[in-house]
Amino acid sequence: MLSSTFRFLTRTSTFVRPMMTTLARRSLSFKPTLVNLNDKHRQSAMIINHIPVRQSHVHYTYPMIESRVMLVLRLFDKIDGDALQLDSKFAQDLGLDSLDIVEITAALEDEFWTEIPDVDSDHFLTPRHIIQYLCDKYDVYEHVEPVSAGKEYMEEAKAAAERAHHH
Amino acid sequence: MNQFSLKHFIVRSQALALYRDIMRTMMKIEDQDYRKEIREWARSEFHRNRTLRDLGEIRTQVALGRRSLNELKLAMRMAS
Repeated sequence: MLSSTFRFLTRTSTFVRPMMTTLARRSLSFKPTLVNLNDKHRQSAMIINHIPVRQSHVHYTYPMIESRVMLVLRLFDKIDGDALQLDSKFAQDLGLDSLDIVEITAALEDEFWTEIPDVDSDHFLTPRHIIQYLCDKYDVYEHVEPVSAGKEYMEEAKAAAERAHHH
Repeated sequence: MNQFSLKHFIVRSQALALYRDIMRTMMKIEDQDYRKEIREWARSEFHRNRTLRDLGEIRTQVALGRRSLNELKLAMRMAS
């Protein structure tokens, strides 16, 4: 039983939320865990099955993060859904103050099962910043233009070498 | 000359931290009506005291808010 508990603790996210008992009340859709209910550790297996486990193989992609962030923002009652764009500034265009940013950050923490400290939420000025922050957090970079270390670099290197040679 | 000092900045971030803790606690509540009630209560309290400038008063209000938040957490724990 101790080993299965330890395996459970290492499989969940690095930040273990306080008040774990309240998680059992959350109405999340439980993914069936790979636990055999018929083995001799049935007591502990039942307990583990009732706690929603954050699956480590969930694949974060840029469209998924973008749609979830825009959904959370649209559900916020102080935001006008029509005026919301990727680059619309919270303070100037959407008329939100610092308390609203804190509330949006709390809603995003709830949605993405992660912690966003104050120092990071101070830099959220547009939805694009939020999406970029979450992409950095989850190592999503499929929307970034790859820097080609090919032809352009070779030409620049040649030009620089030529300049150095003829100087 | 801006009359806001470093102490004002520190006290402001304490107030925002309190609001953040209230919001995080609120997210754990399942009942949507109760959640709305908590959010309205928090918003109205913070907006009412928005224009306070005296450090002592602000700190008092933040302490009162912390106490209210502890009571809320206790109530949630007892209800679960």
